[in-house]
Amino acid sequence: MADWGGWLFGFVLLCVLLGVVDGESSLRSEDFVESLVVRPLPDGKVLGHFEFVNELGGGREGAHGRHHKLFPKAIFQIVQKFRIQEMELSFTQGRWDHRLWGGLEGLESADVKPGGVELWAQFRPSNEDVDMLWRNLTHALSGLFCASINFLEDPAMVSKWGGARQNGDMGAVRHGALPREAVCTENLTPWLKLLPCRDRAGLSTLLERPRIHNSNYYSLRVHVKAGNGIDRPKGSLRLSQTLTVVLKSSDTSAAVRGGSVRNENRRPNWSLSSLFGQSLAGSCPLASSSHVYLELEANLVEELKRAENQMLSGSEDAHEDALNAPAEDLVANSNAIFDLNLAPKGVSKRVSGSASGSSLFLNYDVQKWSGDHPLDVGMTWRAFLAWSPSQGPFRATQFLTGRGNGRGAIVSLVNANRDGCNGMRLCPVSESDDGSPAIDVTTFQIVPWYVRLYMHTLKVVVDGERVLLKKGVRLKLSPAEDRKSPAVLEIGVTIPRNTSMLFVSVEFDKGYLRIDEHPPDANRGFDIPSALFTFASAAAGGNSVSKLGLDSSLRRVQICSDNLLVLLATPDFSMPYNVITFTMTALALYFGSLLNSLRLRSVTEVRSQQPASRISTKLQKLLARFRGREKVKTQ
Amino acid sequence: MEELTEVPEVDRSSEDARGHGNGNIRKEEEGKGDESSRREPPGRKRLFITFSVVLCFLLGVPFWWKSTEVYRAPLPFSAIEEHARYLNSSAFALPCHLHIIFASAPSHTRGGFVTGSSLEKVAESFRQHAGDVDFGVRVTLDAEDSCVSVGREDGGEYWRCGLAKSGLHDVVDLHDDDRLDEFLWSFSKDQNSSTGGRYTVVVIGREGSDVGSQSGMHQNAHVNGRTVVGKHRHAWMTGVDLSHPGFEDGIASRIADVAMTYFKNGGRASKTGRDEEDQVASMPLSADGEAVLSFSLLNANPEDWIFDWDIEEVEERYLQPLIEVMEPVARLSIESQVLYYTPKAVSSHWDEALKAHLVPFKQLPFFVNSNEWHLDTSSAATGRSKLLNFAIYVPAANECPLHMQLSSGRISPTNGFTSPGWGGVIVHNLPGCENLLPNKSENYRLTSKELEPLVGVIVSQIRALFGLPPTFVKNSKAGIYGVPAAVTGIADWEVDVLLRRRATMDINASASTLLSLSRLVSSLPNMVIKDEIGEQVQSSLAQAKAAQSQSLVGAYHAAAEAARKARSQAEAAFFQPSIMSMLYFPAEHQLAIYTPFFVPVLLHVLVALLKEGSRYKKEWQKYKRWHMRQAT
Repeated sequence: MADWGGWLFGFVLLCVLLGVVDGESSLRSEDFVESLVVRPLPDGKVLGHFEFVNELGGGREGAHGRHHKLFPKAIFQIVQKFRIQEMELSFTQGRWDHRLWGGLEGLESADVKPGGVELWAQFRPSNEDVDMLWRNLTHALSGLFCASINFLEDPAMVSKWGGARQNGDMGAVRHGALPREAVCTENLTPWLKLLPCRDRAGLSTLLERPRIHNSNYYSLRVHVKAGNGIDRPKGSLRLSQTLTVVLKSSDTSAAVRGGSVRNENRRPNWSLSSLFGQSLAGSCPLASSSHVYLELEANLVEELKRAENQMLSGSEDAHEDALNAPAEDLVANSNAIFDLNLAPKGVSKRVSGSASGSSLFLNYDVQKWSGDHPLDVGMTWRAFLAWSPSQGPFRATQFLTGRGNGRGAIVSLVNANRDGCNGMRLCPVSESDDGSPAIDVTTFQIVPWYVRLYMHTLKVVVDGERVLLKKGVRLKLSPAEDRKSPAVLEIGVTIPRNTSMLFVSVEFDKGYLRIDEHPPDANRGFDIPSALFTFASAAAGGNSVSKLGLDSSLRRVQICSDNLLVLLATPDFSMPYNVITFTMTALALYFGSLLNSLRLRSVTEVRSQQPASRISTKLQKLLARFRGREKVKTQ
Repeated sequence: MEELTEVPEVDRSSEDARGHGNGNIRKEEEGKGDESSRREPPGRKRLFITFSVVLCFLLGVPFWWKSTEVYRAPLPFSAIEEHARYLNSSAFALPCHLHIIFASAPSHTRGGFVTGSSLEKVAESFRQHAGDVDFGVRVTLDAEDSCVSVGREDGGEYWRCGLAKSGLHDVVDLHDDDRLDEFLWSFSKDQNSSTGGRYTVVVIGREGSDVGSQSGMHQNAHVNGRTVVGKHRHAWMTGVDLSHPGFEDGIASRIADVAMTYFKNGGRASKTGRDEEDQVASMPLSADGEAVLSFSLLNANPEDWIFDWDIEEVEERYLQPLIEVMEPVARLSIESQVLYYTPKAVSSHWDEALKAHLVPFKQLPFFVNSNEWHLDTSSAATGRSKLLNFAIYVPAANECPLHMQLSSGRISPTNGFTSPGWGGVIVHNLPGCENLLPNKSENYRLTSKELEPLVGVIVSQIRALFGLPPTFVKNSKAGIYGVPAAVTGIADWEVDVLLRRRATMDINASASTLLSLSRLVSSLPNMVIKDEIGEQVQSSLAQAKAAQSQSLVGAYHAAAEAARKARSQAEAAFFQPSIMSMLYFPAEHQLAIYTPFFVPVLLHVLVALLKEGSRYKKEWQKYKRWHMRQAT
């Protein structure tokens, strides 16, 4: 027994020790990873996607709250103070061109964001007032990022549920957007400040302010997620900062050698230095890994293969093995279409987005490079190659109809991307229509209260056929309350995969704002935050979908529409003063004449108005005569 | 028919009236020089009408005034003025009490060195030496067989007798300061009498046999013996010769010196009151007595080496006791971060003789690189918390070792400096770094043992920032030594000093804030004053009064707490957000609204009033003239 007791004691002791050791180690587990994905786009521009991930292992909350090593103190304190479970803040400038550039789905944790500022946060369940937390959060963030996020404190701009982004019902959600917010360097500098190396070392040195801000599209994001004890340990924290930018190469040297291709079709060569103005002089010493990936989209790889095959079969000695050479070799070795100026360390395949093939990621380890040997990944085109962007099966747009200041309608249009795919095998729509799986389309939109929606006019049309609201539409709606909360609507429709068009419209009346509720430039119009379209395979057919192979790639895809601009009837802002002046002048006139008539003798008036008095005396005489006669008559 | 015949009558009468009126008006209008007179006094009807209109306006003015008035909660202006005046005339101060105990072996009393009358003399002489500062003094002779007390009686607040009996002379070696300090501390704790502001000086008589050895040991302190200031609220003197007559004056002056320099002023030689106020103003605390100590480890160039530290352990072992002991003075909290790529803003130069990179003394103000050192304000800090930064700077390889030069040209022994109100900077050089080739981003970890000297510097920097001397001031000439507060870094009596300063500062600040608030409010009549502001002002005044009354009783903590509340309430009232918005309410706005109505209307009324007035006057004179003529 004593022996057993000793064993047990030892075991318990061991457990305790292990626990302590584990706690200690997890206490210090802070990790920082940086990566950059460069993707040549079909229209000759280049997409750069920076991602900086700062992970904080779970541990004792109290100690973490006060001592920071890599994880930025400011973000941690915000998360602790405002009890944040998950939060995403994005600053976006420019418009993502879905038709030219395809989707962003291939990249992890990258969504296309609407212009302006968007913030959504999920709070940990607590007994604190969520509205107060949100209010303080917006103020803290606007101080941290030098932006007017504090305008989101107004509950009339904030949705109380997050749509597709909400994960379960772990805690209250607030979601708001400021479509008009201008994004500039002031926002980038504090964003960089959150990185341990700031812009002094590593990938962030590439972010030269003027170039970034002259880009076609530029989106800055901060995403914080706290461990909830389910998939990640409680108390752990993950801060992911991403910057997505679409740049044009400044390399103007002759792009295509050989001159066989016409000038307008040529594709500019690019390299990191021509895109960002400088090459990469080493990694951030604090990053545990630092990589640059050159992504070749699936469609590009396919086209490349085809072009190579054509060339080989055109030539005399076409080897069978060359025809079937894997794409990795094609890219890594020289090919007829482009040259890479640096051989990658490795090539990995990644099934991406909704395209059928898999895109290639050429890997460059930045830690191997230094200031003496800067890394300057680049591509030189030898021949022209056209490929279509990797697009999701659908594209979504939104616009307003109606004219005048009275009424209008918001129309959301989802079109199949059929015209975009010329090659049969890349076409997202399967030929076999029968039994093709269904797709869930969900639109989520916040509409300000002054756009008064009439929900009975909601119309959902799939391929010209109207869907009955009661049967086929999942509708989640929170009606607007004047000056208190916006209308939030989530419309879900399940459509067959071969649908060519989905049309959703809802009519509205334009409300009137009080004079002090107008922004300084009211005549520009009022922005409606963009709608978020989510495409997902219908849950019911989940298993059968994966069998088709083609659909397994269709993850949840999110597309943002553009911001809408509503013109409201704006008042003449000098009106109140004019009204005051006019009415007061009228009153003064009235008052003055009244006073004069009281003060001056009526006789003077009579005398001064000789002709009038004559008429009046005559009138009086006439009246008297009438009266007399009447009297006579009565008598 | 009758009516018909009346018509011409009406006509005629009206024509009559017209004629009459015509004449009158013609007279009035034409004749300034017209000497024609009138027979009856002029009618007052028109004057009446005009005046009634004017009266309406005058009656309306109060209503209008009332309707345009903004809400202003009544503020106790006179009470604020009085409070400020009172503080001007008599400075707020927490009282100090001193208990002098002659703890002697029975032989002394038997020999008659210390008697009741000499106790009186000591007390009297102490009062003379201490000057205007009011120290409540009590002198006790505590011998094994007798116990005599002279001076103020405050119940059980002083040490009771029995010190000599408890074996002071036998148990403790009188030369072991630490043990003697502990002994006295435990003795005072037993009696539960160690509260703020009550200090004790124990005079331990010299045994005859001791004389020789002790004077041998402390040559410099031969005459006076040795005075030691303890960690808590007591000091003691050993080796005092109580045998020669007239020792009272000498000993009283020394006790007064200790009490004034240390217990009262925290180790600075007693200065004028003016100077102390300057120190008081510089205590780095927020309005509600809070401060965040923010520690930053700055890796100037992480490409050379990356330092990490065991700050958690340092906090637990060294800083937590300090925070606890400072609790009555300030609520301190700690946070830390490690920053990278933080070069200093000044350039250093290599000194061949010292084999070090030097930052000259003149350049130190520019050492802090505010562009690259992102010592952010902390959003965790609530309200208007004050942030004190402590930056530990790890120089890059090309500037290591880095040293700071004193104004005298020597190297600073602490290798750090403080900036009042901001915090402190310390340079930590990697030992032997001059011979070390910069290894690419090698990781180092500063253990709490390695950090110990740095923490020592930080503690002295904290002391300096709060207005205490960085280390205990020894005065070996006068034979005054101290027992350093090794664990907490700040002795109890030093905390008392800080507490007194803070309470004074808070009370003065509350008075001046309230005064400027009342000036602001009375200078801006258009400003809305919410009830909250009124309540805050009231409570601030009430707390200030409470602080004063508590201070008279000698309740240190209660008084200091009340003073803190008084200040934070005053600041809260002054920085009430509703005031800020109302400051910009423009007078033009009102002008623009009221002029379009009042100017045209009042113009009519005034013109009418003038005209009617002058007409009536003229007519009245005419009537008078006629009347006079009639009379003659």
